[in-house]
Amino acid sequence: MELLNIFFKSLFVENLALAFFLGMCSFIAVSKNMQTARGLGFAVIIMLLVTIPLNWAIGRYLLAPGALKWISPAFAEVDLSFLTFIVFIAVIAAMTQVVEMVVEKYMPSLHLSLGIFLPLIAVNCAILGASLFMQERAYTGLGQVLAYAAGSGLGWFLAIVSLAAIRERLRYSDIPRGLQGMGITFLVVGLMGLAFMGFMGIRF
Amino acid sequence: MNLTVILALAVFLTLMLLLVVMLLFVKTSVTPSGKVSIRINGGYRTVEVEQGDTLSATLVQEQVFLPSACGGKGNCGQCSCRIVEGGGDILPTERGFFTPRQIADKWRLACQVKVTGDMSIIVPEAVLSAKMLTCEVVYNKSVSKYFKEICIKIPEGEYFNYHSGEYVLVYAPVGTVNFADIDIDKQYKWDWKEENLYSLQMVCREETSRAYTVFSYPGEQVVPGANTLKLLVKIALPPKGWSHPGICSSYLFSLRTGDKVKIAGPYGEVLLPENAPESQEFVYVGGGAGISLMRSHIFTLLKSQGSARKITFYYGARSYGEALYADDFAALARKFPNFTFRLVLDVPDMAAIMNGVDFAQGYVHQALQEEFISQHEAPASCLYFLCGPPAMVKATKEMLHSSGVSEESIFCDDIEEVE
Repeated sequence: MELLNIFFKSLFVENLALAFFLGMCSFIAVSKNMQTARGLGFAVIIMLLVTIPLNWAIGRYLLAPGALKWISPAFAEVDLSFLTFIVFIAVIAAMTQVVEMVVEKYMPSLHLSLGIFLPLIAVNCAILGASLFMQERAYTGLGQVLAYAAGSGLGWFLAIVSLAAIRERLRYSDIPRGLQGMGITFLVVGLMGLAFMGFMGIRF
Repeated sequence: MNLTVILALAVFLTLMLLLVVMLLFVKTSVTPSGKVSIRINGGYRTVEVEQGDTLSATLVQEQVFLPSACGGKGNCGQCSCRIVEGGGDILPTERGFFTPRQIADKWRLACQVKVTGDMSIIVPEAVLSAKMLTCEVVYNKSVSKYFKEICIKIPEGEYFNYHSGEYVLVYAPVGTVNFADIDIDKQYKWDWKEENLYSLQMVCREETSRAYTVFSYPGEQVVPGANTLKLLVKIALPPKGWSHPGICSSYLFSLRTGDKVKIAGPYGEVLLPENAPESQEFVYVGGGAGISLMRSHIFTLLKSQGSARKITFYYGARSYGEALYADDFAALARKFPNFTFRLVLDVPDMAAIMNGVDFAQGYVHQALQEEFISQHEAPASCLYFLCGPPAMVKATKEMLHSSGVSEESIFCDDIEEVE
């Protein structure tokens, strides 16, 4: 139950794109059509599933206050949490490269549809943000972390794919001149954010 | 406290090491390796190559030199070729260079295509005859404040046959050029000091190539019995707020007699039209570094081919001092009645007046319109060659269009002077 709660909470209520507005640049730029949006969404899911558990393990066993106790009791006082940012960023950058090479080799068609988006993700704030939230919320086990990662990734995917769907329809609607383009997109994103707030009450 | 620092360093370095090791491991185990074959021009040649690198870099190793002015950054568009099999789909970075028709014909930029499998490609015939040579500098002399004329000798026994209007790529090797070490003719030294050019330094971190139009004309003899080329080089000074001068121009400026320089070519850009009727008049408009093309074309027409065609050259320059070789052209005009030379200077120039040089005042496109287009009975029947700074080429082109000259009668080559 707990896992399901975490999953749905990160999927809807704490949606990275629509509640925290993370990864906005690519969220807006790449949601012009369905195909590219789906590609970027997949890339985010994959990256979150890889980096969050890895960062969680690094944080828990190396960086948190007293985390190095498993090496020697003398290290019980040591607190390396100031390294969190730089280590997380390095891990994300490296994993992006690894995932890109693996996908290129074994899933060429997926690689073709992801195109430039996979490397772009190395600098996507949603990925780093998700890792930092993961730390802040102090999940207790690998299961919870995985549920959170899956929920966040799927949430971002859902958000960008729905925005792309809406924007594809928007092309045929009669929008006042001043709102065309970015203006109406921001309004739509805001409304979607409100809608996702509506899931607040769901609990299992 | 100390313990934290040491542990932080240890943890950080270990993590980075692990990440790098993992990256390298994945890279070696995942990236494609092994030989693939590339068929060139439908079986003219088939080469076995290692995969993984870009097509242009791979072809260089096989002695096929696609031209490139940008050095593989994908912004000059000169390494275009057709990839009829393999190579995947065209990338967004390449689309801007081709028309939809060309894209359908599978035109690509060789510097953007990775070799990941067997391919069949078609390159222009001229590329196959282009070669890479190490030449010797015969002389390198200042011709004005910012220009040098460089003469290089093709190694003996090498066949290097170029057409008028073709260009070569010059390769600047890794290294540093201190402007203080550059030889400048006495009369320009003071200007260089005044403008503080001697403090500049060029650092070349990887081999860089740039295109230079051959300034001499085929058959021009400098050293008896040797095949030579002349290049006209303008030093690319740093744009405002920058401190890096142009890589290749600085390198070429620093060369001295006897130095070796690597070139590739020749490649065609604005060639002399072969089937233009003898009665058609050629009109050249240009200035700056564009003079290379003008000189090569006009000298070939008049001196090598002994053409009786009417030729007109409007040469635009800021001042008489910057109008390189204006006297040569004026002498040529006196010798050949079918050649008309007109110097156009921005402002009345004391030096020109003192020397009794005839010139028009204003911009070259205005002078061309007032003195040529409006007097000519059929300006639309001439062929126009525009070569010079982009602003000059653009203004002239617009003027020609508004005078009813069609796009097909205008050949352009604008020289970007800033790298």
